[in-house]
Amino acid sequence: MPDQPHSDAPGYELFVGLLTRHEAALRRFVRTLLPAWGDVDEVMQRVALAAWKKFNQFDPATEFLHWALVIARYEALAFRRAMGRDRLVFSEDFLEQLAEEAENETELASREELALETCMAKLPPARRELVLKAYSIPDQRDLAAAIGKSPAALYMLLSRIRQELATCIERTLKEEAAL
Amino acid sequence: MKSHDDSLRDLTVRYLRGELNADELAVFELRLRSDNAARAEFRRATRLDANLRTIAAGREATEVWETNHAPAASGVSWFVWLMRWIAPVTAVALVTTMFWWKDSVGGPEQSPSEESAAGFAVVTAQANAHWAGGRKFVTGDLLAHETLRLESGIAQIELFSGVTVVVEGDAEFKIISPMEMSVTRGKVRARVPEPAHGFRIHTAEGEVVDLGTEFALNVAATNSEVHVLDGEVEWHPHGNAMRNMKKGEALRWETDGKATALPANHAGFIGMADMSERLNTDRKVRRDEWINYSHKLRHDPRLVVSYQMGADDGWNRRLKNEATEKPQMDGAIVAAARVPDRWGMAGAALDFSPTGSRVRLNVPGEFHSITLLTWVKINSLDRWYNSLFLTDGAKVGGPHWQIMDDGRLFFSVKKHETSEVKRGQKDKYHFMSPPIWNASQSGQWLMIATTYDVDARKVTHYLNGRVFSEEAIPEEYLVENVAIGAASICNWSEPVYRTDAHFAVRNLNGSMDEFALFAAALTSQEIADIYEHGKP
Repeated sequence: MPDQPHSDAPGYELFVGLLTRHEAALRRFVRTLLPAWGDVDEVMQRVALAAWKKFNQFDPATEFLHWALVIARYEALAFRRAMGRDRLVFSEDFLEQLAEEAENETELASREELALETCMAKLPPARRELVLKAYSIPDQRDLAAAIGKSPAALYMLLSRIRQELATCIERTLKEEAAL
Repeated sequence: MKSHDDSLRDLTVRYLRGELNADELAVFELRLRSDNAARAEFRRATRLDANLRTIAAGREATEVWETNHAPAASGVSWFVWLMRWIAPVTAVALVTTMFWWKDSVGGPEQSPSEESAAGFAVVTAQANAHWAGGRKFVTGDLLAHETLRLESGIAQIELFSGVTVVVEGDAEFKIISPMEMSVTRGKVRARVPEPAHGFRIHTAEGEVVDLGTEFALNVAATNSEVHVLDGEVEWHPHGNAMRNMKKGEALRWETDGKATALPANHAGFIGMADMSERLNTDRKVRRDEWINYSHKLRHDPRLVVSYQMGADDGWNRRLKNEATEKPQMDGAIVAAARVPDRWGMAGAALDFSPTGSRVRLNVPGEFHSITLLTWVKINSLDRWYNSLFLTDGAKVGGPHWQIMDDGRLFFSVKKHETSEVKRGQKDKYHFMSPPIWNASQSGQWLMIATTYDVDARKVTHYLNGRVFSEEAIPEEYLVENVAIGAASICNWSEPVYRTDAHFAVRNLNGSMDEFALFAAALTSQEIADIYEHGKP
């Protein structure tokens, strides 16, 4: 694989540093455009590779995230097109609209990420563990079985916790804004 | 019917789990396209979903790393993630992590057993509707892929695409998807909003495709009539060329293929406005009947508290106790907003979904047996405990009446001080019904009642006038004197837990238009009577 990046290539460290810093933001962006986590992960890999291939075109005086988002948008839409009609996704022009709006929200998004950390810390430990587990195991049904709940009950519980977190994030951001 | 926000939230959750089918996805996209706020909310949900995964993955990777290479450098988890695709071969030490990742990115989490309300359309109104086979629908019921026969009367149905149809009996039809239905007999009038253009109705003779906005069909044994009341439709007769029809045009199409042009007949089909007029008259009659009956009830000496949530003056936050024998015990409305009651009368019910909503009341004295009875419309059970009526705190003798997140009705009367509970003993017994509610009942008005019968030693839960479940009161948990004191309707006031978000939020996500407390256990016949006279 000639295009595969390797650690002694020039700019590698800078690239890794930038991508590491903005990885969460890129994932949020791609997640907004694709409904399946498997697809999101696939596109994230493509974005990373494409960004590395084009990294010599990146002007360090400009913002890396903005530059990488353009790549992410392109990769997500290309992926969607390749999936064609056999996968259930939003129509392309609607995705364009979402992408455009999401690109203008990166600052809000990173404040949300920080607020989420605070809000997670406020959750009762058992619920915090549950969310972390649910988001890190491949099949949530296994988690349901492990804790002796039906999948439906687990989904309900998770969606309630997510809602609580969303409310907490909103409140935290409002409080910050009021400071 | 579910609130706008709830159904969008539901769609978002299911979208993120990869559960939406093609029709639902199309509807979801239409709604998001046309609503900036909904779209912003959607993006917020996807960001949260991604952030949670980032946090979870970061921690998991750090844990693996830490066990292999202590001490861990900060930020190492991102590096681990990066290594997985940048330099997999060199990352020998991270094999475990990578395997874990490989497994974790399999695809969308499927959940075939997820409880979800199934249907493409919802019954929004009926007037004297009689359905074949004794079928009964109430407002808010979902209709799915099923042939239905409305023998007489009128039904108004809203499809999830936004199309509203009024069906007049005798009619036979089927909702095929949010954008499609078939009619084998009878009159149907459809109003199609812009996002649902392309909506089609199949008949034996052909199909009508709407290009906007309102048309009607009359399907008889030997012919079909299409009337364009507004806008434009395409008529695709089977085996014949398509015809474009404009406002004011109508066409009769015989089974033998003969076509006759007619002027469109507005008056021949009941529209939404006529429907709503009829319903209002209908509802008003039934509501008046109930008010008459409830006037008699008010004189029942066993009645302690009776609130009808409608006020003569909308701004008044005081809720008058209608029990004539007990002129005091008025309630105070906190936060709850006025919404239509179960007959659709504006401002005659309270919506308790705003956080902190409740009706505060104080019920002095002690009671032997009691009955709690209410009419509620539940949007969703999104708390662990969803309050109906709870005494403040957790006092001995105090009743708690609520619905669990899985739909079970919960009733308890506290027997022991928590500090005095012995090993193996509880402070109270929980009388739980099987689930009385699931998501398909969202938006429907229900009458819920529970009797605490000290003499017969049993607790009975009722749904819509019928016994739902019954349980004996265990001897050691029998409380002979129920004491209420300060209490809340549709919420709980618990000083100890006030700082704990998990416990503090217990308001019911729904509306209530009536609440009653009796100082006796009503008989099942009495409760059935109240339901029969009070059902909308």
